[in-house]
Amino acid sequence: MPTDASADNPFASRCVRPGAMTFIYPPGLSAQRLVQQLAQQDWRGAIVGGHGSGKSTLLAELSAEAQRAGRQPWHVVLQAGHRRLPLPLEAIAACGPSGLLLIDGYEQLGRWYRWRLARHCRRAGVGQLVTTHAPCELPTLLVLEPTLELFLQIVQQLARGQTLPFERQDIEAAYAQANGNLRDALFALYDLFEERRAARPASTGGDEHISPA
Amino acid sequence: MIAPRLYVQLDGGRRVYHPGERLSGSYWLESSTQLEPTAVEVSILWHTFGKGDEDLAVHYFDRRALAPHELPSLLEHPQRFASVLPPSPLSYEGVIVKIRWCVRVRVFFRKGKDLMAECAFQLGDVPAARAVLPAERD
Repeated sequence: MPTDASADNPFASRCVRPGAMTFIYPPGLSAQRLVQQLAQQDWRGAIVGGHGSGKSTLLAELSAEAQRAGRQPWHVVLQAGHRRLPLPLEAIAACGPSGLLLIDGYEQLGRWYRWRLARHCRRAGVGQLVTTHAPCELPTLLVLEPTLELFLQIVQQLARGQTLPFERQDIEAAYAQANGNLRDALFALYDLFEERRAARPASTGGDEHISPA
Repeated sequence: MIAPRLYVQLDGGRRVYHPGERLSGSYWLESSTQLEPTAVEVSILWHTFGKGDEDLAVHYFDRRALAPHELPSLLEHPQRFASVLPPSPLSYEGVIVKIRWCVRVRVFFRKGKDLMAECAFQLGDVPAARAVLPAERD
């Protein structure tokens, strides 16, 4: 199957952002299993992994699964330099006893603030599921350690049957250069896709403007 | 029961428009009458696609709640939409980011998943960019 030079780049943000991609679980694990484990940990847990290791993608999936299990998720995304949540700690109680506070970027918070946050959550019966770069005071739910095999599976998933304009060694090189950061490796493939597309003539066939979803 | 299908078409099969031009078209639903659509939404919007954060803005939006007796007309006759297009942002096929326009129609049903169809078009005539190949860099 020839590569269609007019095809959308499967490594664009729209395709790789958390919630758009399906998380690939280690053998024997699933969203359901992890949420069961989280419940056993009194709804307190941390997803641990480096930059671009899939923490946010997993968090998005566990959020949906936790909701199915009866918990109401409340999402907070912390960027570099955010030392506190964008809401007063006293407001945590409003999440209610079935609430689950999801914090992406927990390592941004200072120790003292975390301690106060945990106290407010305990009092209100609100759970905590966080992503962090290193183990913390919350019980570790899962440690993410990307591998080349996993990256190859992700690339295959994103390609969705489309023939990619590069070879396996290009994918391996992107992975090696990113030092385990899958997001960076995927963006390297985005660039490579655009570069290879530029070298090919665009497809002229097919009327695609009627597109039932 | 026939699986429902939704179609969107721009008048004259057009794909390219200029800012300030009037875009018009129609949509229609193919289905058995056992379905119970509750509303139809028509949007004309642009969104970004590429390597960075996504952006999206809706230029035109129309939501029509459907009463049960309106279903036959939705099935039998194409429904019209039209809007004058804005001056910007112009469509752009860049390397890092692309700006894409489309008409999006979504039909909501009393039960089951909603149905969506899109029809892409180009606003303006900004030439597409392309990545610089390694040989060209030297």
